[in-house]
Amino acid sequence: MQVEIVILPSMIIQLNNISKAYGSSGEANFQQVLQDLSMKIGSGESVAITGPSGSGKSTLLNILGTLDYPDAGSYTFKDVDVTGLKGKSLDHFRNREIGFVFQFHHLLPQLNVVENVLIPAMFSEDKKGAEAHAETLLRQVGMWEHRFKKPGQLSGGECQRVAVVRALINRPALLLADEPTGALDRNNVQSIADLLLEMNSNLGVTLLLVTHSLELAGKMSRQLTLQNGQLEEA
Amino acid sequence: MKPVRFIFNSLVHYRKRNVLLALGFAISTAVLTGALIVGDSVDYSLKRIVEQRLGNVTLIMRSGDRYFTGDLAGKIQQASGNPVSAVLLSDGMAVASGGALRLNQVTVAGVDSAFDAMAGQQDLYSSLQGDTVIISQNLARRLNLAAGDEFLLRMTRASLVPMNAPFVSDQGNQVSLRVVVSHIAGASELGTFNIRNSQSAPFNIFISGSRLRELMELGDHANLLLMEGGNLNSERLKELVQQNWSARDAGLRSVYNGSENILDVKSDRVFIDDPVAEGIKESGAKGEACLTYFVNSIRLGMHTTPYSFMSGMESLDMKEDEIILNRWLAEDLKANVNDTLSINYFTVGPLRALDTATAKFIVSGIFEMDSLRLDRDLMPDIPGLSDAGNCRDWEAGVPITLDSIRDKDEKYWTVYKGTPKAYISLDKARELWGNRFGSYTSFRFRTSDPDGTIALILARMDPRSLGFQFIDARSGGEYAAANGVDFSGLFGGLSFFLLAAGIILAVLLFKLNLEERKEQITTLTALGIPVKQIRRLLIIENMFVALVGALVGLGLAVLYNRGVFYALNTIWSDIVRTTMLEVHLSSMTLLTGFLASLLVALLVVVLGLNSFLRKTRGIHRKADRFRITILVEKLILLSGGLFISLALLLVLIQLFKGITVNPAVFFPAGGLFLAGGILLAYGYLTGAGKQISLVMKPAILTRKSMLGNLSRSMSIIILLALGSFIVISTGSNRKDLFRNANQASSGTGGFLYYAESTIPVLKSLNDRQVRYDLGIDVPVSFSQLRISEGDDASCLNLNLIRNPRILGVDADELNGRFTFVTKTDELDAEYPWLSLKDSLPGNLVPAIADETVIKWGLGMNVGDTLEYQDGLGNTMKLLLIGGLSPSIFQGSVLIDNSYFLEHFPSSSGTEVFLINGAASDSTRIRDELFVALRNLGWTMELSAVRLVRFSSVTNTYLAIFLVLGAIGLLLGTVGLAIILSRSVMERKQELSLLMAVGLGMKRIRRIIRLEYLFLLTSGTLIGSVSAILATLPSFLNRNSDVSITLVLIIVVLLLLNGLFWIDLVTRMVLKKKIIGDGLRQE
Repeated sequence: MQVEIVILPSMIIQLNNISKAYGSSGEANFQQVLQDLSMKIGSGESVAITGPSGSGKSTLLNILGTLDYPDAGSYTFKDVDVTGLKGKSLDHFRNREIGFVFQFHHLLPQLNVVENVLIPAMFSEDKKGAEAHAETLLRQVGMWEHRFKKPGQLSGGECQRVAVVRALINRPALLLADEPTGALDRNNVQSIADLLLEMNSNLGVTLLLVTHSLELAGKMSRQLTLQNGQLEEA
Repeated sequence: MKPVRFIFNSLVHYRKRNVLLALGFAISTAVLTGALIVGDSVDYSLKRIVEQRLGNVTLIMRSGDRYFTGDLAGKIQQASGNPVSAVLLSDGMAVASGGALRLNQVTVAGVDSAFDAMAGQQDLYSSLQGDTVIISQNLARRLNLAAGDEFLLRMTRASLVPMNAPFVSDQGNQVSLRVVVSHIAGASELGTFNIRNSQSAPFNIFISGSRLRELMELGDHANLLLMEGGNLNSERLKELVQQNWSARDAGLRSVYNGSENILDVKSDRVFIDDPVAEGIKESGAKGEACLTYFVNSIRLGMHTTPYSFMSGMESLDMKEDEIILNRWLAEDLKANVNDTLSINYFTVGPLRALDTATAKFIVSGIFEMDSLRLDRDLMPDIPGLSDAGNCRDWEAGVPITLDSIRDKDEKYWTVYKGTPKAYISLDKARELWGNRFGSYTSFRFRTSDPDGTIALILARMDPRSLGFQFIDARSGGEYAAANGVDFSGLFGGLSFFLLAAGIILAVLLFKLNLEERKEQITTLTALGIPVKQIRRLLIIENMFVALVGALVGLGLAVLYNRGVFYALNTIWSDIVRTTMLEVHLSSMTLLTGFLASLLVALLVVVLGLNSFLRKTRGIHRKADRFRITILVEKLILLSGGLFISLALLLVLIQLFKGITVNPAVFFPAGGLFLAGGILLAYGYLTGAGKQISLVMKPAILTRKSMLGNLSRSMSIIILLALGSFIVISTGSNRKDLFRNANQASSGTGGFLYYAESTIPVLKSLNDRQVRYDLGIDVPVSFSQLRISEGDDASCLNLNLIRNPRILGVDADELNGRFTFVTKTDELDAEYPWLSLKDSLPGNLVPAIADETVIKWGLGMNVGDTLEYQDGLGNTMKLLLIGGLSPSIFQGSVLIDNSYFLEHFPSSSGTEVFLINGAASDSTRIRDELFVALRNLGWTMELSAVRLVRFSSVTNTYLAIFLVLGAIGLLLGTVGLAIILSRSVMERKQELSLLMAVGLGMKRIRRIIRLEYLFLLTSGTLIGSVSAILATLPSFLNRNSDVSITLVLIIVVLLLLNGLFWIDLVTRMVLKKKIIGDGLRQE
């Protein structure tokens, strides 16, 4: 008898009964975006979150990235209650554990490629290590020879690749991507998608990606749909 | 990647925006530092003026109306080793171009060779001889004189004898001569020589001291001693004087009869005044006091002896009603012992008011003519009387009936001169004939050591008790200059709007820059950069920009100051009264301005950043809460209309009322118009929101866009309206001082003219005989005021004043006139002026002055006590019991004549005149008085004109506020353009959509331009029109210097400037690419 040994990934993210609303209760502008939402993400997983516009995908991502707070519920990251973190410790947590890739690259126009990549490591103790890692990653994404160029001298796809490297410079455990290909042409969509998956498999970083693209979502190991404030496994 | 790199790259990348931001900081630095430099420069200039007006002089001794000898100056120089110069100072007037050009109130200084040392010159003043003069530049300009030109100089004759002393003739109290200009002295040559603390240069004429003394028959006397005293102070100078002065310096004359060992000490001033007499008595030298007087007649029955000298003798043991005759008189009167006779004599009051009095005595004895008692030396030296060859040549200053003088009287005079014909007790004599000039005419000592006796007397006398003043001129002048008007604070206040505009501009630009980098800040936060670090990076980056801006601002401050000082020396010279102001840069001031500006910049950056970071970290956008309910909006619209209607109604009623308008009505009307205008603007904007229209026009779109950001739109309108209102209404606000100028309660006191004379008027101009003699025929009355010279305490003097000019007034004549604005309990509510006559405890003297003089000139309050050295060298304590609203007395402190003569007993004559007359006769009065009194150096002006002249200072300050405020508003319109550019960035999507639906770039620009033009125009016009309404009386007043043209120019400039910037920025930011990008990004 063959026994399949399944090694379950350790839980990196646990959301329990998360709720989030906008506006004042009873007023016309009140909107319950997330309602008692619970979710578990394992370390190293690649997860796509889809859903119609206005379903709260970005809100969920902001909560996961600690850019926003839930009205209720708990958020545990690597067994640490994140909702209890504030101020300096929260900034430090975000800086070390989470990388962001946005729809628009948001590279700082006054800095060149390598400077943009090293922003998260600006106040790190191991600057030399960060610089070496930056070189490795930039070479990996094919941007090393463009390292002294400014964002204004690069294409949209090249900028997004640099944004991905920036997100990974501190070796975060979690990479959050909000429509990372939304502003790109078809060729670049493919390359960025491949890049993200490559980072996920090579570096073992957990990837959580919000997208409208079913094709992109299909490339992830898991697909969740957000509807009516609830997550459903696709 | 280091923080420094981030900062550097950001600075370079955003350099265009940073340049604008630096400019904002530069403007606020320039204004702030500029105000400090102005204050510094004025202080420096005033100190320089002290140096220029004093030269090398550090100490001064003034002898008041006395004179000391040139010998004293020489002895002090020898004793101290310091240069000393004796000067004879007089007031005069100059007449040039055949009388076409006249200048009164010139200062004539008779100088010696030592004056060159005071002036730091060689052979300039010592080369003066004969009738050549050196004149100051301002005098040369006024009289159009050059070297070699001639002019007529007329001066008050200096006299050892007080002009109003009894029996002193008032004839010949002027001297005149034609002089030739040898040189025109500049400021560096002591041409602006002035012993008074003032920045205004007097009109100086320097003449050879010996020539002047010769002209005035004054021997070697002087009345001003100058010393280049090094480290010596005034106290030491006083000691040197006391150690080296002689009897002649104290105005005493001694005659020694060696054969009989008799020393007679008399006074140059006819009477020995009380401080000298006290000194003599306390000296220990035993002398016999005597008072000799000139009586009109001595009568016994039918017999009368006219015009005789009588003496009161201390040594005669007589009763008060007893009299001893000499044999000549006894025979003339056929008198015997126990006969009762009467004497008739004149008493001389103020302004030579003559009164006659009579006293009766019983003959108790007769001296034979060879008696030692009969001594012609008992007669005092009275010029014109004691030196007359015969009785008919007497000039006694009192009416003499020549017909009553007999041949025997002439014979007596020839043989016995002024030997007293009768003797009474000294106490009785003092009771009858003692006056403010003294109660003795001589002291007689029996001594073999006359010099020792004189030395004993002098040792007991304090020069100060004779009215000698010892002044630390240099240090006192520097103190007054340093503590005068605070121009730093003044200009800081006047340029408040400009400073605020600079700061607001910097704030707007800074916020705009932050808005541009909002996404960056969000990204940095997302990347886990702590907010503290983000804040630090941005603060350092922006403070670097502020640093550069502040450095540029320092340069701008210097330029700004050069502009301000050019204006102060020309169009704004009314507030400084000198053209000698210069910019002075001190590194301390520049550093202070620089650091203060950086502090302001830090506040702007930190506060702006904190507020911004709070908003960007939040996710929710706050809704625009400016809208209120529809009912309230309707009420607002109605109220706006009501306020404006009410305002216009008030104004129209006032205008139709006729001649008089009530200024107090106009300011509320202006305020109502302002409020109404703002409410209507709000109503107009919100009214658009309720409009249901099937048509869309650009105008509708414009209004709806403004409504879309109602709080910003209304903020712009309100700020512009308020700013324009405050600047224009304050700058144009002028009091109509001509209104009600004829009323007794006004600042003129109801007097038609105010006049001053260079040469004192010794008699009352209300006396019929005097007017007849002078040829005054117009129906006027005079109120004559005495002067004790001091520093001008009016707002025309920038220095701090401690020795103001004192005027002696007749309180009865001023009763019921002028208005008091501050009072103490000592000021009677019903008859305030009569309070000047009250006796106060502690020897306080009640005094009154303009409230502005008390507060700003003296730096005091009503109820305070001003200490002043009087003519007797005592400290006079003036209690300020009341402050007047601005009056023609500005610059002086007023006390009653009774107190004045008590403290300045040897004051002779009056030099200030308040003239009552009918306004309809004003021209005739002016012309006639000018002719009649021209030779006294007569200047007169309408009291109302004098009053307005004092307000020129305030008006100039208001004009400066108007100009600087207008520049601030101009900067404010630049800020409006910045808001416009920010608004465009925020509305990129909206504007992109307009482009996408087919509106061309031209139309889109027009929509934006219209929007901001509406905000600019409505705000500016609401504020300006309200301000003009509020200050309409100033514009309608023909006597006001405020100009509607200037205000209209300012308003037009504001609108044009705003239009320029709106148009420029609209073209710059509304480009196809920028707009197009608005749809491509979310």
